[in-house]
Amino acid sequence: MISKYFFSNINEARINLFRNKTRTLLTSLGIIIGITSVIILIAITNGARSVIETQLTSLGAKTIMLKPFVRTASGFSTGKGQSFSDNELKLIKDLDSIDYLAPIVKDSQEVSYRSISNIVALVGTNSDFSAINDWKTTSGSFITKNDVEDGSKVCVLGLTNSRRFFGAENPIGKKIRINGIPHIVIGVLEAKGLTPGGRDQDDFILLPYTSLNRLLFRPDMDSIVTVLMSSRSSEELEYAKFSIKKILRETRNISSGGDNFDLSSYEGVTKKILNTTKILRILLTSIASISLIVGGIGIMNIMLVSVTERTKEIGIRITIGAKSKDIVFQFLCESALLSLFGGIVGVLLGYIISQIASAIIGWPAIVSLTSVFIAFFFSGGIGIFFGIYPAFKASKLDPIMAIRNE
Amino acid sequence: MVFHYHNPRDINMSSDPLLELSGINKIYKMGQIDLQVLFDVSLHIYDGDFVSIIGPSGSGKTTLLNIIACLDRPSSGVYNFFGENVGLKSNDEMSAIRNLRIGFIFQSFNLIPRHTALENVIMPLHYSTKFKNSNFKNLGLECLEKVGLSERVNHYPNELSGGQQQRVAIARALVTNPEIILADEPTGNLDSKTSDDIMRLLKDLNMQGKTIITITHDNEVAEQASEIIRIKDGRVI
Repeated sequence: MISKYFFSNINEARINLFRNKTRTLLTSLGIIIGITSVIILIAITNGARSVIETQLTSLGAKTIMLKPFVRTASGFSTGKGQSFSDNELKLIKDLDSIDYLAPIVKDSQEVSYRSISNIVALVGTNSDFSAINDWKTTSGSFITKNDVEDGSKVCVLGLTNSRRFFGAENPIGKKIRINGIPHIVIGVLEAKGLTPGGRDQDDFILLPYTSLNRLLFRPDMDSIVTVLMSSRSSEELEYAKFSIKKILRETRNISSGGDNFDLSSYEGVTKKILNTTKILRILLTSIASISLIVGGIGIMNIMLVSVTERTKEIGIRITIGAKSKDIVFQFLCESALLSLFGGIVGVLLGYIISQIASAIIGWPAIVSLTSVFIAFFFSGGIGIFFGIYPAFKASKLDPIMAIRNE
Repeated sequence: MVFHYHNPRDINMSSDPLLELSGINKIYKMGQIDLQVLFDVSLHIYDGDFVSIIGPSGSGKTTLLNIIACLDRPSSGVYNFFGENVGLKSNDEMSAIRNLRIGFIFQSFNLIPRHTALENVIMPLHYSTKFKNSNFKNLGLECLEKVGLSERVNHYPNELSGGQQQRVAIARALVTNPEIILADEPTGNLDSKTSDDIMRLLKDLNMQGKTIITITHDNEVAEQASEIIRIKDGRVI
């Protein structure tokens, strides 16, 4: 039956706060501003983090590479190992932590258009390749699921090859011959430029891997040299790798140590960069927290006024049997509720403002559930902390003097 | 000191007084000066008594009432309340005594303005674990019915006349079913007809077995009681 006591106190506090609407609003303004700014800052820095993460994706932050692997008598080789089965790739693709999966098949063949001909690197893959590498077409479209299923004779040109074969001419819809077989150019990729080592990353042609295999009379699954995947977020990268390893060990019935596949990723660099954004977020949030303390002092101030105003009431309550703890609890409920009200308004306002800000600066604002919980916990805590002194002051009143107060 | 003769219940009761004040002195320290307000006051009040304490203002009767009410402690002397020395109790223990054993009625009613009559009446119930399983509302309505205010349970104090407010206060004094009702100038703010009603109500409660103690400076009010204690300059005369 503690709840009856609790609810009667909460109700009492609610009645008091409603009676003085303007004062309640003005008092909680400090908390409202504090919580609003904390929510906005966390939302914006979270947004910044996701922007940075997207940018890092093109550098491979979420990319996982899976290759066949064999142990030979001479040592290690990543050449011909056990190839991946359709079923394995399907199981991996179905993982929650994996967003995209693209098998890679490679070869080099003679490519010609009109009088120009050249030996060009060919990469067979599927529609996910673009998302994993964050590599889009500047004109035309990318390989689709249907292209892969049908083994369509289509291709997407790296920028270097678009220039090599077509110059200023628009290549979309034109037919080029790969190994003598005509393929329709459906898209041109945006430029990636040179690697630090000077290799041209744009000098290749993309095809559906099924089409490339058919062209070279190779079986689909056996020819896959690499499987590229991207995890849903960089945080989930390790978990995704763990899950992939588990699936492959189960389907291949191997114990640890005898793996005939190789998983790799580039998490090291990205971790460092994301750490920096975390530090930034902590810094900004602690600055915003200062306004919460100021808000708390505002609450303490008004609770002291409230105690003075209600001296007579406190006197009556003590006279008819309220103990010190009853009075303390009554006033703590009031200050906590006042602050919590500020917290709720602050969260809503913070959410709205960060959405508006995000629309203006073109940068996502992510209000996480964690930040909302922290805001509630914090505002309630501030109300209680700054309410303690006024509440104790009230409980220590002498009922004889207090009841005469008008 | 106080004789009791009208209440037949007393014949069968033990002769121990409910309240026993012996040699009570009360001294207020006002800076350098000690101001003695009560001098060697001794009283016995028995179960079922209706006692009036009468004296001019400044006579120390309010101080005496505060001590009897367990709101204040004597500077010296012993006050036994139901056989227990109040001087040794903590503030919270005194609160518990007031909550369960004493009902308070004041000159200025002392209701909390933003609560309805019913909410005011049940307020003392919140402060005791004794009633944690009771239905507060029913207890409150019962008491309001006793004082004839069943029609006004959801009215706020400022919507009630003085007499009605005092009835709410009496209902509040009754809600924890205490043995003692303490009334401090209960009719001080009321016209004479309403005063009579209130005094009649107190008498009825006395007939039902409550011990009633009033303080007043009004002889007419005092004379309604079966015992009168006169106090002057801090001494019982």
